[in-house]
Amino acid sequence: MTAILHIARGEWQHMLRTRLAVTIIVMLLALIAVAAASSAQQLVSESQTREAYQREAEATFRSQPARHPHRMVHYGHYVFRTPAPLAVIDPGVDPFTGRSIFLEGHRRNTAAFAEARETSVLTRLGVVSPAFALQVVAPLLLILLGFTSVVRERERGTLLQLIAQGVPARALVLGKAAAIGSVAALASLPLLIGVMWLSIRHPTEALPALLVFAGHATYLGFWVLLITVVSALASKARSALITLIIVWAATTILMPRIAADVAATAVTSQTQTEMDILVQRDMRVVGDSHNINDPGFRSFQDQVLEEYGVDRIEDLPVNYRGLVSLQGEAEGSAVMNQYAAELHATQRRQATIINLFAIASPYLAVRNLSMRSAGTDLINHQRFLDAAEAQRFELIQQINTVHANEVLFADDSARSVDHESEQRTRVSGDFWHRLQDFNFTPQPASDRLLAALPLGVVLALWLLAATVLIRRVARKAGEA
Amino acid sequence: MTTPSIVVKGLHVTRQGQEVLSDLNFQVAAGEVFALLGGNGAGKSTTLLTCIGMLKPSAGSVTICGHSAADEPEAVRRSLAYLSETASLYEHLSARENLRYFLELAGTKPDPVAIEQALDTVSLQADARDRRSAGFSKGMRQKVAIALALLRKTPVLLLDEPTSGLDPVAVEEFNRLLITLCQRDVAILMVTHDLFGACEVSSRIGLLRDGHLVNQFEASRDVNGKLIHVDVNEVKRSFAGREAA
Repeated sequence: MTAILHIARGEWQHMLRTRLAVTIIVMLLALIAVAAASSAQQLVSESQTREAYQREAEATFRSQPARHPHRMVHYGHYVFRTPAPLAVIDPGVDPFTGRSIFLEGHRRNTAAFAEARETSVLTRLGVVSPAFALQVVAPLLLILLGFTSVVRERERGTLLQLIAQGVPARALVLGKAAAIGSVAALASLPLLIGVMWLSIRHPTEALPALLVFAGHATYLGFWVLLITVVSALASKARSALITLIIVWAATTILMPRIAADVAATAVTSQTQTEMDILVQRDMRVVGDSHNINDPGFRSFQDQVLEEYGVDRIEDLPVNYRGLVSLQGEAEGSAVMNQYAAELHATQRRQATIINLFAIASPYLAVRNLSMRSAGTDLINHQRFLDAAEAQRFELIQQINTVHANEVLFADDSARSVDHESEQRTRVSGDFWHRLQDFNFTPQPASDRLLAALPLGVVLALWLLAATVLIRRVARKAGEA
Repeated sequence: MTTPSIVVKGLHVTRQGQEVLSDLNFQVAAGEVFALLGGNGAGKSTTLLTCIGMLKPSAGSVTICGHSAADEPEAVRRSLAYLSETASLYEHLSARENLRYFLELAGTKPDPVAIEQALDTVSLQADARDRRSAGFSKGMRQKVAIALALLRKTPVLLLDEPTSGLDPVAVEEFNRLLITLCQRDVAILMVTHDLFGACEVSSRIGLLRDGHLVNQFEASRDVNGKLIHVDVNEVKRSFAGREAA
């Protein structure tokens, strides 16, 4: 143990006296610290902005004057997704999926105002989250820092010198790993502080936050061991560097793209345009609810007349136009929800395939574990879309009910030709106060933990494999 | 001859399917310098690596201070100091720091006074002691390595081509240091292809060719016990004769 510590201290001394190593360490720490600070600042301001916009949108809707209900159906309303607390560490798919949805009648809109689409290209490239810094940049900087750790001793002849004076090869290899590992630990420190801070502020997020930290620590631990193993096996520093850069590029750049391509090929999904065309096609079958004589609602009309025991829609005790709106929205929603459910299922199947690639790429394992635990993955985005749709349907049907109950059919039919009728079709603004607050909550922590667990197991296996490898290499390093 | 510190007995070593050492036998006693002389590929470095325990013999044995190099490599390594051809040091450390670091790794508490004494003994210039060793000449690096051997007080010293690349003055200084070590009863095994250097300092010389010890020469002593060097011409003739054969 003492020899391991001496070797680790010696390696630290080497790093601190080498300009390149010092530069790398400073860069790594600065990057993580800046990423954490800017991400936290951005998230706080983003949360405040979105909450403010949400309240403003709600106030605007509620403050609308007396209007015809169907005008309010088209007036619509915005809902905003407040970022998950752990998005400060890993924003996941949030910057790409959009943060607000416009709720209106007859349409299930998709999320808009994605950060990645709004910012300039330069800004987009400049945004670095702590998760990205730790998952992509940190391994690269650790490679640059540690690729010579053991092979340098071999190239300069000090390895033989150390072995010959009785330093166990195991201590040498583990000491080097400990030195690189301590830099990785230092780099993880801002994450640990962030996790503790978040756990205090959001106690329900403590366990997922801990899992995010554990995942990143395991991932960096894997890289530390791999760097040491490759450095111990290489005969030349250059070949160690090339090998490690290839592994890094393959696992963090190439593999995610291959995984996405394989997933897209294995489970084909429609484009948004294709899906919109299909939805429109099926919606035409449902009928146009603005037109009470649309053939799509003929059987509905018969059913209503029979239910109320009258022969004409004019004799109904409720506004038939409102009923058609209710029916049209229900049928239309069913169509849109069916397509959305199919799309979500396709995306989830694709995500499952991508997750399987975690077996070939520890980066994919930690990336997906981190997003899942943080509640910023695809599942949570779909959850937001579904929650927004539920809110939309509830809101529109409430308005349609008002339309059916509060507006007379005669006035409704004559409103385009008779000003007084039109005035009477306007219902009081008090009705708009019935709008419910939209409070989206991410998946419960226990569900997220459960979903992230398999990826945690994969990451642990990667670490275990690297541990087995380093033990074997440490035994071999003492042989000529 | 006193009790041998290094005993090589019937040593066979095979590397990558080729027998590199074949039935090698020699001993080195405390206070003795034994030089293994041979051309490239004769098996000199293999002999040293086997003595360190980094190569396992296919037959025979190497015993250092009573410990088997194959079975007790750690005990063997505690008993010896090894000086590689390049006399490698950590370039980012000064001479003093190198000594402290190597001593700590050897489990010896570095004593600043002892370090100064050792550096005095090897005559390393005072102004070089706190300088990073990156700019050290091979001679200076060797001095630091010998100082380490002195500080570790190891009974055995293994030298791999110690005088290659040294200027005549540095060779002379190095030879003086070896004599100092011999006087402290250190058994020295030196592998080299420098015939003149070997004859200058060795008590015995072994000629190694294709893994076989083909001849041995012993220096005699005069009436005062002073070493009378091995006759270079005699070794040269034997070496040339064997080459011709």
